[in-house]
Amino acid sequence: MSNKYINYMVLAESELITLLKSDDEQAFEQLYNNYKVRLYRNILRIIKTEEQAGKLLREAFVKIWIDRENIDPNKPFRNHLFKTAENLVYEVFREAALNKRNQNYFIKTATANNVGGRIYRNVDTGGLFKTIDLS
Amino acid sequence: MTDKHSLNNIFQRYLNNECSTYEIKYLLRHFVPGTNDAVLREMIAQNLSDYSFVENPKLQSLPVLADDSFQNILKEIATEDTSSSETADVAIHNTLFIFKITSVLALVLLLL
Repeated sequence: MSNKYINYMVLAESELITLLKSDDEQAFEQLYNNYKVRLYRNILRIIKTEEQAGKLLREAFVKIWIDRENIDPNKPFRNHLFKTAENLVYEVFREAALNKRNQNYFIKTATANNVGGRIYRNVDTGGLFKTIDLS
Repeated sequence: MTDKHSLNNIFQRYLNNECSTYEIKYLLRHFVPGTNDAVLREMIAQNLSDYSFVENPKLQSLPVLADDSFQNILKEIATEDTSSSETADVAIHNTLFIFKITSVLALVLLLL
């Protein structure tokens, strides 16, 4: 359910959460747009691969949707979102620790000169697209 | 239990792509459920919520963050909803089946 008369971009976060709790997909999309870049960028820094970081970002927001009834509009949404992402990232490390195959993949992507690391460093210097084009 | 400072140090080296294979294996060993869970979670949480970077509008154009990326989330949600309602249907069906069997058994026992 969404309301075409609402300008979601100007709503306060608590209002977006209230709408999200009433199944409003546009409020959900606005929250996603508000946080996707920052969260993706920080997941990428930790997880190192673009594909995996994108997957975790999606999973985090799917969990937010599923758990929307339990989100408190009076508390910062980012706390809930980052906690959800933290659990997902932790799980990736744990699986890598427990599973030899996952561990080898993890080591391969985490050793020096990987794409994720280079993107992260180049974002800070504004050289993002140059890096992606080269990789 | 490894001390917090040394774990933090190796995690920062990992983030900066400075770790050797051996060091990454060493780091991963601490993610096997044990005594360092709280420290590791804290390190992840700190880096996930890092607000220190300069916004780069070019990041918005990454394929993984493009407008259609939200559509993929909606698709996943739709799949989740369908599978959970199917699971609920199966649960109801199973409960009814058990109820019928129990009723028949009770009836048979009464007749005997």
